[in-house]
Amino acid sequence: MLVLQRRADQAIMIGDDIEIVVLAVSGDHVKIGIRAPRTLRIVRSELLRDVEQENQRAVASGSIAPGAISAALRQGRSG
Amino acid sequence: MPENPQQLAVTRFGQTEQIEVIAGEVLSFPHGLIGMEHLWQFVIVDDSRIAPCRWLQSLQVPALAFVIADPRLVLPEYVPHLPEEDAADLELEDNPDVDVWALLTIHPDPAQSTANLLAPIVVNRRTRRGKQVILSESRFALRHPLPAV
Repeated sequence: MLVLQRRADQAIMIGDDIEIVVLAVSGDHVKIGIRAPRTLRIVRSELLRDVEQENQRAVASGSIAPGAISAALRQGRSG
Repeated sequence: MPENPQQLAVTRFGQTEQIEVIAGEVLSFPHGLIGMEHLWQFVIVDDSRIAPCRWLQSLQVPALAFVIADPRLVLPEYVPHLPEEDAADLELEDNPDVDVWALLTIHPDPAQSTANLLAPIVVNRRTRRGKQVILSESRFALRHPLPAV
């Protein structure tokens, strides 16, 4: 991993069109600004990991008879 | 040209079953699902045994199918605002004609089953291109409880 030291208001360019700006530092909090093409997904790493894990958990759903679930959703729709 | 359905041996409730897959109904997910990038083709299959839920059936891995539902059955006021990059990726700028599905995580204890409202499946109906989108700035939950039976 490339490691760089930056202060508040300093920035890093990645390629030609991605800029990471350190906006503010306070204790162990860093506020970061990102300028990047709109085609790039930018998301907190832990959120991506959580979604991956939930997808893995959802895979097992098909082996469980979801009759009670569908009953609940039908009820929700009519009510 | 008529499309001949292909037979696919899938797994339902631990048993093997045959379903018919029509080429024109196949959805392509160029990015796969999140953490499952190898799953890039699916079909949505109706099944009266789980209605109003449906199966999101993988074509790459026939043993793998997700249980999905209209998220508004779980949360009637659910209106996802797609991040701009995802709307562009799905070519939705001029065409808001989309289907939105929530992946369900079914638990043996129904009270613990949940719907993923944070990262729904979004499909462009016209191009049949789909994507799992993270609504990262939304209040929607990764594990939203299902209505009580």
